[in-house]
Amino acid sequence: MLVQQKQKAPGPISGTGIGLRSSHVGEILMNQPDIPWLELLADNHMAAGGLIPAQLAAVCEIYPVTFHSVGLSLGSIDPLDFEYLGKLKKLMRQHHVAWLSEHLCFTSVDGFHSHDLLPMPYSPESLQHMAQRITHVQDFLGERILVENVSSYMKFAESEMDEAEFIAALVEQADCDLLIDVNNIYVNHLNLGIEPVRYIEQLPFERVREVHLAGYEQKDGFVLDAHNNPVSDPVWDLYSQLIQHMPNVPVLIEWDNDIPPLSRLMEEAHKADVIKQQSTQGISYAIS
Amino acid sequence: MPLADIEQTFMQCLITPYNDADMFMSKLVVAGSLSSEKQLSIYRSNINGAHESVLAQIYPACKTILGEGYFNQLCLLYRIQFPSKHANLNKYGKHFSVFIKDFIEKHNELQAFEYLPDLVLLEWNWHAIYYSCNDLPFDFSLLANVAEDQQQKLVFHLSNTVSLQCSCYPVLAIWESNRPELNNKQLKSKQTFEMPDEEIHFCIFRDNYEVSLKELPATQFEVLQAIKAGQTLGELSDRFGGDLQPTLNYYIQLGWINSFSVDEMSNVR
Repeated sequence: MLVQQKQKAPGPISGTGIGLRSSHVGEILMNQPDIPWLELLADNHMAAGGLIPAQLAAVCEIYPVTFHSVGLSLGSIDPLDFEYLGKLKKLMRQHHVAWLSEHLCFTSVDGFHSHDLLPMPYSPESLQHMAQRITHVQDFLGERILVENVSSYMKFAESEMDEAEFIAALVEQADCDLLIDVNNIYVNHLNLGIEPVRYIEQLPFERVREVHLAGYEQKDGFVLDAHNNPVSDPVWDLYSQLIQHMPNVPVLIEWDNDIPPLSRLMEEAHKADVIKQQSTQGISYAIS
Repeated sequence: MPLADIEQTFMQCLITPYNDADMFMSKLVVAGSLSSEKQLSIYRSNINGAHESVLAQIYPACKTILGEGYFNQLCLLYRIQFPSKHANLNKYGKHFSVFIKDFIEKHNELQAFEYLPDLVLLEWNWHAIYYSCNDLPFDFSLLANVAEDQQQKLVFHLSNTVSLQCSCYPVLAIWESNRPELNNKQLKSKQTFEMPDEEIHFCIFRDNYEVSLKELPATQFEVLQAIKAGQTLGELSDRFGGDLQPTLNYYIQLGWINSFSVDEMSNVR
């Protein structure tokens, strides 16, 4: 059976949620575990028919849901894909999705799609271009979107500002909101040498509506934002510092590869709640 | 360098990974421990991995037969020849059968794998049917309203959840023996298979979210193929005679034939 009897009405997005992946959908629908909200990869739920749309409808009947997308290509010089946007908007309205988040990057150009989050130079031209595109997207959707900082493995000579400065200017110009991925900040620290504490201090906290936590993987000479491990201790530390500035912002655990049982993700979410509580009560958190 | 040039040269470095990337790399600066070469190679590797993963999910039997290393090499060549042109990754890999056919024709050492394009097409059809549009059941009340003089012009339509295929190779047996999800303990990629005496006909279809495969008698397959080709009821009657009515009834009941059109009147969905 696909859909269980509806047990509870979806409420607001608050507390620590989990990024729902296909391997857990059956368990979520069957057992309806106590998870405050779920984030779905919108691109994975845009199938024309069959099981995927049915599962999306069933999940949204039970849980508050947000959409995270990878196909908007906000930084691309190609025209915005309004067919894609139209599908997103329809699904969001149909299933009362709380909000949409996208990445500060481009994924396509000249009609070619990389299916990877490609970084852009942090230049005035990029800033103006991306702000304009976000404005168009928000006008089309009739609501603000959240833009997420990405993990990057590249630094452009054209960059005239650092990422945190770029983000602060972008949310101002585009009047959008922010999704801050703490693991991405740390990955960029290890790979590109950015200073994470300074980065956090530059963020416009009042614009942050969501925080992501994930794990990285050590590779040959760099770390990869692979979402295949528990959140690392230094990332918990950074999270602890960040969350003091915005104790009520919803948090999400992302785990996309080598996915463990749902119970393991719920443990990770619980840890995020505990750290938040301790951090915001002025109790220092000791890494176990 | 303008943003447009940066994005275009970056993308070209990714979709044509063997081409010279010096011009693009001259626009990068060393960051932390990452040289400009390393920066680009990380993205090239990420993209290879993502595309290999998608093709491996769509074509598990093909991967089993070829082995991971060879399959991944073909994935890279395919990505260069057919770079993704759609935001939806579920649509990536559609031309893999054509690509494999061409590749086998150009490589004599692969002649023993000449069945592979048909097997790959089977796996694509399975994947595509899983994601295809839902269809409504056949509307018999509309059919009853078709005027008698219009009936011979009536054209039936196959459901979006149905895909027809035929092969002169034993692809069904090969496929069943190399599906990791069914045979993960003992894959039989080295098994030999007897060539069928005649072409085999089959249909991949979706019923209540489940994708299945059904082998079809030749005549029934031809009726369905003719319907797919848009032949009118009159043309079908002339061609198939007494075989037509039971075949139509059966596949309308199954939901494989789910709508019809006739001149201006249409219930195509």
